[in-house]
Amino acid sequence: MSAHLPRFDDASQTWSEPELVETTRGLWPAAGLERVVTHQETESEWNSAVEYRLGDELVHRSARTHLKEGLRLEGGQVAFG
Amino acid sequence: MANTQAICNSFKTELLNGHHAFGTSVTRGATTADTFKLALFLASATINKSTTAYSTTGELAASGNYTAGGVTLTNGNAPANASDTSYWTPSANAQWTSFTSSGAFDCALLYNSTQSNKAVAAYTFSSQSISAGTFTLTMPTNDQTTGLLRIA
Repeated sequence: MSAHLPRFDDASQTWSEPELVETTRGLWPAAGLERVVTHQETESEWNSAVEYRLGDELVHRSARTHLKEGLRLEGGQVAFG
Repeated sequence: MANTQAICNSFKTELLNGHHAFGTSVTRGATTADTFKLALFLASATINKSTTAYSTTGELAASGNYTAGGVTLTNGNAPANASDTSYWTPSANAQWTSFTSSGAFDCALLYNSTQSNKAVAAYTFSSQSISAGTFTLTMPTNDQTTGLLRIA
């Protein structure tokens, strides 16, 4: 994974902050961008995202979704008679 | 159009017919585990319990490091059983780096690329979009209560 992509660290629950960020405009100094991190928990997942904006323009967004659980197939009840 | 989280009906029958092998203890010609993949689908797609196989319809467009078909899952966990529940979870998270999503997406389709791309399960989550970034789908704990795929 590129060193210019923010990485989510599960232990600290934080995003890394590369000095140069991969953006829709190419590599861009993070110092010149507005950085916003959001966290959201729902019944079934934990979400986190990091966004970088150049003025009003979204130039980078990475996200991580952690599924709390998968899917369960239940066996049906069997009746005799 | 909307995606609906479900274990696919076709998969239930295919289990009985021995079409899927997450582990190596299979009684088939091949003794290796099948290859399972995870592909991302737009929120406008219609992936649900009636999905029988992977197709590109509704999938994110190829961009950057997102390629049609999604990613191959790391299968280092043999299927196991505890408390009357069998379970399996990939041994690594699914990750797509350096791409821009072609739209908002909220669904990942688990499918068997060894067996004609037969569908296994559809997982929905909060809608996401990526711009020149990374999307990581972190797997749940591999046990009988949270494993990615459980049959009780």
